[in-house]
This record gives sequence, C-alpha cells and structure tokens, in this order.
Amino acid sequence: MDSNAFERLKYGSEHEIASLYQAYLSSFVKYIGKEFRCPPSKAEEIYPEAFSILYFNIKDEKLTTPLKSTLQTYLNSTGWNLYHRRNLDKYQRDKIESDPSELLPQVKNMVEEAFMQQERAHHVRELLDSIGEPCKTLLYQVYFNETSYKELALNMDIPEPTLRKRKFDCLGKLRRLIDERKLEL
Amino acid sequence: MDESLQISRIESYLSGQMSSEQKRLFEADLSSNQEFHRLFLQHKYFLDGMHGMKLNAFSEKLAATPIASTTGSNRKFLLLTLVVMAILALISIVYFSLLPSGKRQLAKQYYAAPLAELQRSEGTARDSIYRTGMQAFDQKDWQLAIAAFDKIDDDHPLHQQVQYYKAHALIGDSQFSDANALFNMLAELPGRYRQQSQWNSILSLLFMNTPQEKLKASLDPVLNDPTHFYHSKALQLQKDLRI
Repeated sequence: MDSNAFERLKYGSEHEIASLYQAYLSSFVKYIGKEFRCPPSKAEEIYPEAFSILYFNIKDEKLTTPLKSTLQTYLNSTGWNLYHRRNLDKYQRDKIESDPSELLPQVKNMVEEAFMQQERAHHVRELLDSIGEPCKTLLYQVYFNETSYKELALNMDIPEPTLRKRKFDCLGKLRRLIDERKLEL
Repeated sequence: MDESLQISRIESYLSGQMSSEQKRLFEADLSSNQEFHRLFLQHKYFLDGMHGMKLNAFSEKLAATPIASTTGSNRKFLLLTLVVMAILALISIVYFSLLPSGKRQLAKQYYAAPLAELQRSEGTARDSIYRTGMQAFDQKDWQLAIAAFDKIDDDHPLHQQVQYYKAHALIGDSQFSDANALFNMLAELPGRYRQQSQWNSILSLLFMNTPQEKLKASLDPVLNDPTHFYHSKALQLQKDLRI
C-alpha cells in the first residue's frame, strides 16, 4: 500500500497527488496536535509545506525506497520538524526532548535544506528582477518551468544554440550580481 | 574547460546523474580548483533558490486546495463530502466528452500562449507598431495587440509571425472562431509556424466545443505524423477526449 502511495506521489497525476494530500491530512493534524498541544488550525497551516517538502524529496530522488517507515510517519515527522523550527522559541525547543527526528534524521535534514532553499529563493527572485528581461524570463522558463530548449526555441522563435548561449550569458550576469551583493554562499 | 560545460557538469552532479567515477573526478576538481569551486557555489546558490521558489509555489497551490475540516465533530461530514466528491468526479469523467465546459477546460490545460517577442528593435515606424503589439501581447491586452497587429502591412518581413501572434491574441480575447481561421491559414503556409498553427487550430476547435467527429478529423493529420512536433501531445489529447 505504502510503496504504491510512494509511486503515486512520485509519478502520479495532479489529481492523484491531491487525493494523497487529502488522505494524509487527518492523521497529520492529530499527530501534530497531540505532540504540540496545538489547535487543528495550526497543524493545517503547516500541512501544505510539510507535504511539499516530502513531495520534492521523493520527486528529486533524495528519498528513495525502501523507506524506513511509512509515508505518513515521514510526513508527520516533517511537520514535527517544521513546527518545532518555526513555531517554538529556543526555550520551548530545548524543553521538548522527544524529537522524532532522532528516528528519522534524514527528515530533519530535509526540513533544514528546505529552509535554506526558501531563504535563497527570496534573494534569487531579487537577482532575477535586477537582471531584467530577457534573462529573467529565459531563466524562469528553463529552471522553474523546466521548459525544454526545443519548445522554448519554437515559442521564442530563437534557434536552440543561440538560446543555450544566451542562457549561459544570463547565468554569468547572475553570478556577477551574487558577487556584487556579497551573498553568503 | 568551457564555462558552459562546467555548469552542465555541476547540474549533473547536483541532480545525481553522474557515475561514481565521474563523481570522483568532479569532487577532485572541486577541491583542487578554487575558481571551479566558486562557480559551483554560485550556481548551487541559484539552483537552491529556484528550488525554493518551486517549493513555495507548490505549497501555495496545495494551500489553496479546499480541504474539509479535520476536527472530530466534522469527521462524518468529511467522509460524506469525500464520497460526494468521488461520485461527482466519476460522473464528470463518464460524461466528460459530452460536457461543453469539459472541452474548454481541456483546451485550457493544453493551450500555452507563446512568449511575446520583445527584443526586435530597429526604430522604424512600422516596427514601433510591431513593438506596441508585442508589448500589449506581453501584458495580455489582447484587443490592443490585435489592433496593432492589424495595422502591420502584408509586406512586413515578420508578417507571418505577426499573424501567428494575432491568432493567439484572438484566443486570449475568446474570439476562437477567428483564431481558428487564422491558424488554419498559417498551417497551410510553409515555414516555422506550420506545425504550431496546426496544433493551435485544434485547440481553438476545443475552445469552441466542436463535436468529436470534427475534432478527430483535425487531430488525425498530427496523429498520423510521428515526426510532428506535437505528435505526443496529440496522442494524449486523443486519449483525454476518448476519440
């Protein structure tokens, strides 16, 4: 059942993902509510992010089968780490000892990595705004929408080799901005 | 080594697509070449940021998904809602091909407007109309884009491109029948817009809730040509339409 859910999450249609999203919600809310004694609304608030973190780790093959536990446990643990990191102050964090991430240290890393990526996303968005068009659209299309060069070349009416060269030029501009702004790498 | 090659290597490494030997060489380069190490960190920073954006976008999309309350008193209601939703989903699948709005929805899923061509700039008067049209297209001001494209003469060097964008602007403005006629005309012409126009002509028919037989007739040439750029999409559409 769970390996089936894993495959559905990894390769499934939007509809299948939405149905899994709905299926795991109830236990998640119950678990987070019990662990942190918080109202369901607080657990529901972090659920989309927890689900997204798990989804991308499966899709990007950072989390692969055989799993050490059920998907529901991974999801609950992701939520636990998210709640612990985001909603508690340091005093409360130190006080709570029953950290389930000791069982699943991989989950803690997944959450930490997501925090780092979200922080970088904020800066990268500003960098893309600064380099402007046409680089902004081109880099969004290639790296965010994952549009193929072939399709882009057709849509933009630019030959593929020119498009590739333009992309590398744009990345060069972006790196110069990273240097200028002294962003911590 | 060429910088573009280095970037490709970094992307292969980070996405786990390297063999163990390639990985070993890559890591040796990283520790021995400071310049390459810096390039790696900078590109990883960018990729991390893009990944973070995807994560946020996906999370926001999920958050916008209506979910039933999960509190205990509402569990029965949740179950009932799920059953009703499942039944509705089943009904909608069964009658999908009969429902006009189903086809429109499908057309929306398949349709993608091209990006506006904003880089051409020669400073002539007729290019200023071209630019106005493209800028309006970029801002989804369809009526202004159509009006500007209409003013461009037939002998303009980019006339075919202009007509192609006009057809998309007509789609944006829900003038599907006119868009279909224009795409059909472009599909008959030699040149780079032939296959795209053929495909978009089919989508404009979908937007118009055209009967299955007519849709099938327009899909057939694309389905019968495995080299057609939209062949795989046509196969998927055929499946979705059950024709």
